[in-house]
Amino acid sequence: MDDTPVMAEGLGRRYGGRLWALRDVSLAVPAGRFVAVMGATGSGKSTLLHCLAGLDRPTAGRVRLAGRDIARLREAALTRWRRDRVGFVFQSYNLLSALTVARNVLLPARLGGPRISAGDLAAMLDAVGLGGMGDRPVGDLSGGQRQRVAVARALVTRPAVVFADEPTGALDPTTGGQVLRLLRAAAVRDGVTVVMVSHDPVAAAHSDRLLLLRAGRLVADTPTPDAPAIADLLRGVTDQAPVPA
Amino acid sequence: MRAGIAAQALRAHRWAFVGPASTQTVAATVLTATLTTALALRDHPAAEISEAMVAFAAIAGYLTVLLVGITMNAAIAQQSGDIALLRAVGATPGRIRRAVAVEAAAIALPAGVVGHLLGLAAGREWLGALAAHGLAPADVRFAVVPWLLAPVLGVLVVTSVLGALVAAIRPARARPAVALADVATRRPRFTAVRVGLGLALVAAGVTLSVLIADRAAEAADDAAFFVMLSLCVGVGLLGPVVLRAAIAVTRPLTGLAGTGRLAADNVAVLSRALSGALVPLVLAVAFAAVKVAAHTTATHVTGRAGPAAEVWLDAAGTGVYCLFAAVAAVNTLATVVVGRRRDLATLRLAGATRGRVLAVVICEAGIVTGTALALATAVAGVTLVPIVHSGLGTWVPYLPPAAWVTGILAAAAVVAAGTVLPAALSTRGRPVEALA
Repeated sequence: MDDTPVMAEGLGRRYGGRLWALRDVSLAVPAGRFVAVMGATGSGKSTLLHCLAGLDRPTAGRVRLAGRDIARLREAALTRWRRDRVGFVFQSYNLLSALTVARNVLLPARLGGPRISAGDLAAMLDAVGLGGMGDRPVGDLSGGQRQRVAVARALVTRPAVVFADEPTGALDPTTGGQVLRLLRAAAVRDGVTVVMVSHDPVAAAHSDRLLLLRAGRLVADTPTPDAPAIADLLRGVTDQAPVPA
Repeated sequence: MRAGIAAQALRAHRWAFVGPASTQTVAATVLTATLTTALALRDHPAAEISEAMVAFAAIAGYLTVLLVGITMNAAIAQQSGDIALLRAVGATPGRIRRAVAVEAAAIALPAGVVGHLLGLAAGREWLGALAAHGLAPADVRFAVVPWLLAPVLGVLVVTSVLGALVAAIRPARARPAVALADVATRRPRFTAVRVGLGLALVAAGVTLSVLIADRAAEAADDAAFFVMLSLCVGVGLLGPVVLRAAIAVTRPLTGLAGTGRLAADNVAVLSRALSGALVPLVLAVAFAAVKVAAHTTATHVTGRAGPAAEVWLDAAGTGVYCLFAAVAAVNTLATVVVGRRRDLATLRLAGATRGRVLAVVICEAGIVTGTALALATAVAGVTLVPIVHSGLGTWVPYLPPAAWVTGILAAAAVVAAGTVLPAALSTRGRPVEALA
């Protein structure tokens, strides 16, 4: 078992011309940690998440994901690595709306990933509070239920890392809290590393480590304080003038 | 059944495949009807009609490849969101391609069989009509050729799969982060390859037209179809650029009303998807214009009409091909509109009444129709000049006003059937339902 599933060195991502969305970011996240990535809109949060998760390729630097250097991995090999070691929860467009809850959760397995027994599936659905709803089409579910299906899909393969991009962005505080507690439990109980992008201080308060980005650069890396303190920190990086490149 | 899930996910969008399936059924019908007729007349001494029927079957073949490919392409392009998600959670590019290919083949097989059966009936009618007009010998017998199903299915499956695979290239190969962003922003992408290929095809069409202008009438007639095909596909590839240019031209006209401005913006965003519909649309109008103008110019120049049977044959053939192309155009347009359900709902939530939404769609239809007619006129002009010059010695084709009006109305009707009708149907419910 790899004890530092997420590692980046000198990570940079440039789109098109000279604009660096991400610049010289280095970090290491040990197993079982819940990391929140925060920053203003356009600060490079999602770009960092995509590069760490192998959904995008960095322009500069190295990324190790679950013990493997993914920068030079071919697309098909990278996809299999992601499928077997990584889970994803996006803000929206997480599920195939035409399929049932169970089929959505089983998606990674059906795509050739680790096998999932009927017992594991039932236990997973119970854990996210959707016990007995496996045969429901996801089109019939509420927003919170859908996001819990996405969490179940992300966790059911027992991944090393779960990446979540604004997982509670479309949910009310109570429903969002349920989703965050599920991610928290995965980290604490099962040793899953969770990397979450969010702009909500209350959501970020569920994490145990906070990364702050400004204009593509990592400007703070601290143990997570409480929500009001996070809000202060966030105001600090969003109000200032952008750093020159 | 490991390969099944991606295919299952794609198949779940059944409505998206109604277009390709119906186009493929029509393709198999036309292909079977023309081939059986050509085969029935093969051993008959009336060589001229036999040759004409072989030419008909060949045209049906080219149209099938083009139109089946385009409609399948449009249907898969609408699934790029699901493809991006499947890629993110672990479907390799190869698995996506396999799923898309299996799906395309699964649609082609039943459509091919149904179309083949319809085609046998149509071929029988067609042969009877030829004999009735004295074009085929009265004793010609219709015969079912059992092996004919194989090539018809073969052409259909191969083109359906190729059309689907081309649409899946980008979403299957792109990094999932890029593919997801593409879906979210619906950025129309112009690739240098696409524009280059489009320009090359248009240039090839014009060059060929110039080269055959001095040839014998018959050779010019045969080559003219390829001039038209090359121009139409070229125009389709350049579609996004052409539509944007059309908007720039019409913007002063539409700029006064908010509805018109909104429609122009929508067409710009959808230009890539809509250009798939431009090919069959331009092809149908240009094909009809060329066939009709070839006769009317002759009548205009010589002062007498051609042989009635020949005119009938041309009219009947043209009608069938135009109908085929129109089906493909309606299907491609409808696929685009159905994929915009959420956008139309958002428009209503932002304060537009259903009537206003439909007015915007009608305005868009107007822009698309106008662009298609302008392009079709240009394509038909380039195609006709060598025909009328080599055959009649004039450089100016003649089309009577009634034919212009009919063409404009027919094109408008096809575009309306593919845009306004599905938009009206998909905005029946409350807008929030479409957003769920």
